[in-house]
Amino acid sequence: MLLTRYITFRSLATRKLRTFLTLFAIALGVAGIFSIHSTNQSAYISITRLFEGTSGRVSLEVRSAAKVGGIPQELLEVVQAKEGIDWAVPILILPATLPGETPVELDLTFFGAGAGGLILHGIHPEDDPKVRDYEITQGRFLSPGASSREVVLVEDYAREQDIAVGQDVTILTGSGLVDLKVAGFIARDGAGLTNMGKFGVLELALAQELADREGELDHIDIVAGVEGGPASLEELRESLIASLGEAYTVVYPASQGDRMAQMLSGYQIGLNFMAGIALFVGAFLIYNAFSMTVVERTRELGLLRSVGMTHRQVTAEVMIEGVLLGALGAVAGAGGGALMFRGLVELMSQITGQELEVGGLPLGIMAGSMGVGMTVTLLAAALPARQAGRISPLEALRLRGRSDDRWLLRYGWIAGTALLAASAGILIWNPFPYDVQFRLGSLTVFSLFFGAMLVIPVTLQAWQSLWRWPFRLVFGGVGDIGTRNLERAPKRTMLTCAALLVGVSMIVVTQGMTGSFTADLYPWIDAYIGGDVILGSSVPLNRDLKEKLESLAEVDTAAPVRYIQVSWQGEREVEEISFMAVEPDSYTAVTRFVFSDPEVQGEKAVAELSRGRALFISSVISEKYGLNPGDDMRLVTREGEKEFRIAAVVLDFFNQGLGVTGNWADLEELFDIHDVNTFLIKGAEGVEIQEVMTRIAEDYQEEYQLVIESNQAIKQRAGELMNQAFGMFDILGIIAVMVAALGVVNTLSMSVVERTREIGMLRSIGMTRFQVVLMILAEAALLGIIGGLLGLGFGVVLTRIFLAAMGAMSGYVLPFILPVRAFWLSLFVALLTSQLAALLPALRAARTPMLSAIHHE
Amino acid sequence: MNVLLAENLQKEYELGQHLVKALDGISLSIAQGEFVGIMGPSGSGKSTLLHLLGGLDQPSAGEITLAGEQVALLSDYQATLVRRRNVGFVFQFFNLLPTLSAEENILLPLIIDGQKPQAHEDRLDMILKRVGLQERRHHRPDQLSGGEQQRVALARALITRPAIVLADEPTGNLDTQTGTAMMLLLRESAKDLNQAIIMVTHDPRAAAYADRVVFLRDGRVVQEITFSADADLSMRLRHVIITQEELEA
Repeated sequence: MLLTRYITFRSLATRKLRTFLTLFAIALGVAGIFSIHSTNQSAYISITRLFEGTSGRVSLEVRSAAKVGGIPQELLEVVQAKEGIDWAVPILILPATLPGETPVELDLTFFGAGAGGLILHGIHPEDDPKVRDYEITQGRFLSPGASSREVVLVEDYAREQDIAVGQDVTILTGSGLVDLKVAGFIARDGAGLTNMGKFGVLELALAQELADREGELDHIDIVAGVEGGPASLEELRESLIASLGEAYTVVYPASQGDRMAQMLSGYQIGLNFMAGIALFVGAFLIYNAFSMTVVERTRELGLLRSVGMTHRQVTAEVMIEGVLLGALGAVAGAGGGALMFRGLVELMSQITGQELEVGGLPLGIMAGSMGVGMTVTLLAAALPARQAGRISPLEALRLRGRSDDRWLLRYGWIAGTALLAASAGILIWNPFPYDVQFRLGSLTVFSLFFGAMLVIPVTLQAWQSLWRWPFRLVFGGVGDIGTRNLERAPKRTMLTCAALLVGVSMIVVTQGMTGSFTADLYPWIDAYIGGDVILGSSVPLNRDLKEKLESLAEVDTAAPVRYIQVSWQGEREVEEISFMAVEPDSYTAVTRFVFSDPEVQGEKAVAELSRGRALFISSVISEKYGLNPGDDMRLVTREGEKEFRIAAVVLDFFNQGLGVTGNWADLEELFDIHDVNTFLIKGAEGVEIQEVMTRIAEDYQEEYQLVIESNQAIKQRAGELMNQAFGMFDILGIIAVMVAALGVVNTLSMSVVERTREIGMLRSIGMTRFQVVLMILAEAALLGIIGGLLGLGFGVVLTRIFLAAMGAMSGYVLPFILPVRAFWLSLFVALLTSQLAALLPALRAARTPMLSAIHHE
Repeated sequence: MNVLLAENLQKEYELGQHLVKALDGISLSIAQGEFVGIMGPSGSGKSTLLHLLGGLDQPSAGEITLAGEQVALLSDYQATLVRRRNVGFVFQFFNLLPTLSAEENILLPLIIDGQKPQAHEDRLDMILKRVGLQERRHHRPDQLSGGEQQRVALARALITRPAIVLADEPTGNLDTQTGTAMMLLLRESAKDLNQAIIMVTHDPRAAAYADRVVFLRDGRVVQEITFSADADLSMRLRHVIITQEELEA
């Protein structure tokens, strides 16, 4: 057996390119699965760790029911007196910044802009460490009493800012500059993870003084002393709600993490889809490569059969090749996956605006992915191996391998047509409930794909006839001979077309989704990032700044904007949505609202908003909850639940579309909020934007720690961010097309090897080398056309399913817009890929020496 | 008139460190309408000679004039064009394209030459009639018998009215009866179409149909028999067998 092993290894070494391609396919699949699952796990662990760290042992939190504004400090005693509570500690959040720390650009995450900055928590130094972990790395923790005027900062952040323990540091808060002594550093762990480590703590009373919020807290964190698990905790929560009254709410800290996890889950679905694609194309490439190896080694294997090797032993020989390649590919894939993992984590961090931890390599996932890689390799190799084992010694010695595809021609189309009919039925007529529809929709993706794939063999002649004339025109008479070759190995043709189909449909989906998104998103971004210049700050901005700004000759209008989270009593449960407060007059002077109904009378709607107690709701909320102009929404304010009338539906994708726009006067009156997040600035007529920015910077940047950015720059970055998000799918499309190209190389190489004698004959009766190249290119071109056109159709259906699924899940209904570019691009890519991939086999065919070919058996 | 003239053909191969002489100074001339058989034991150089005469390979020395062209001096492209228009090939294993019908296989050299098949319908009909395949013209090779496939191959070789048809063991893969029919067809084609044919064969019965039989051994012409037109087949066969035995002795 040693000798046959040697033959197997040598066969791998001889076919270097194919061995490399097969290894690449296996590695690609393993790397895809490994990196994607590791990224998902890393995201989950990071989020869990973040919330566990920042919440510590906190089991419940008391907050204002209105989501905004604080709670009175007296409440602390009420809560502490409650039975079943071990600890109740107060927190006051103090946004701050270090002078000179002001970033040059706004912190732009997926559809939200802020200015970063330092978050300080006002706490009780004796009690808080009992609830959360503070690991002192240098100096000491806070000493009790407001008189100390001390702060403790996260060490990593402090070192970045060149701050040492013991020194005085000047900090800017909403009420101005203050000097605090740095008592010590804490590690960026536990509570130190808050605000991505840009965090510090100070004595509660001092924080209240600096925030100008004496006697106020933001929340009270509770460590419950109850035993008996979640049921008892829920009882405690309900009893707390009952005794504190309607103005306050008691929540589980974990619920804050849900939002982030929800945001990530959408992306994770996309990533899992990618892993599936990687696995499919990998399996296809492996199958193709092994089939080809069997074709080429038939004579050799036949010889081994004729000298006494059994069917099983021959099959085992091929499977050993599979084991070897599977093992090597899995190792390479694990290495590549580790690199991809880091890249994905980086990308995901950028998209979510949340730093994810890479940590050590997840060995479990690595082993699992390698196992999947090995299994897929062996499964993909099993069919060619079985085929090799079934070849009789005589047949093997006389002929090159020939697969029996008759069953595919005879029955494949029946199964294919049935699948296509069923998919069409489901897509057109679907009386099932919404969630069943969604599941069926996902199944349709696969049934459509396999249906289209299975009808390819039986339609080959039709394709060939349909394209005969254009092909004759481009490739001459030999084009006909080339395209007819596809009928000879229907299974191989089918798989190659399927691979091209996947690649092309990925491009169509990417283009379609991008087209549909941008059709809605760009007008919104254009309006949302309105005006000429945007001002932000990491500390709350005083509204008085508006008058100061407008007094500048370079500024025409300054429109203040404030975002808050509000609770809204939806039909089934309380929803949290964002509330963007604007002054309708100044806002419309600077930018505009994008009404989803173009017929709506904008001025009338804005006038209604100006009158107060009115809202513009996002199209997402409108679709998701069936709300329309004229309906009412009940929002929880500091004055209790208040009714707001819906004045119009606008395009608004802030907070993933879960947002409303309200009046500034309502914000001040009902939520008691007076500070500003951002100012949208419209420059005076004839003044350059740069001049506006320079003037604001000179007069107010230092005083207000302003981040000043032109809206053009922000729009550009928003566009880049979007492209980055869509770019992931572009990469997927490119990988799929690349693998399809490798498939075409393999298929045509196999075809050339099998037809060596025939090509020799054609050369001998007068076919030139160039005509041989044309013949193979024609064969590839038809593969490209079939794969391209089917891919285009499949891609369109897939895009529609994705859009429908998104609409069903999030209420975010997008119009289906397929750019004309996508149509041409997909066909061009399919043709170009097939032609480029065919060049190598075509040149190989053209070099076929006639004499050996004629005598070739 | 000679359609093919070979002078002092030499062909050497490197086999490892050894130099093998496949042809050692062969001279040969073929007249229009002449049917020449080439015989000889394995390794005598029969196939090598056929390949050189057909322009499939280049001689190490010597000259070949085919339809007025010095084949040895031509580039690969030029040699291809000469082959396409002046040489017809018939192979032992038929070498038909399985995806094309009998008719399309026959028209293949014209398609390759960029000609419109419709322009050659008369010629096609005539050849199909000659090889007896009018009823089978739309069948694919896998629907044809071995003899029918070889007849398609012969028709393919004849369609371009080549100066010469080269046949490499054309009966090697046929049973005796079908082989005989094939040889009759070849001889009639030579006569009726005034077509020069060179056939390499091991089979004395096949060679007996030729006008002239050239015997090779160790890359040289060692014997030549020319039959008179009225010699009957059994006499020719006996002559070929006796000559073959004498040379092997």
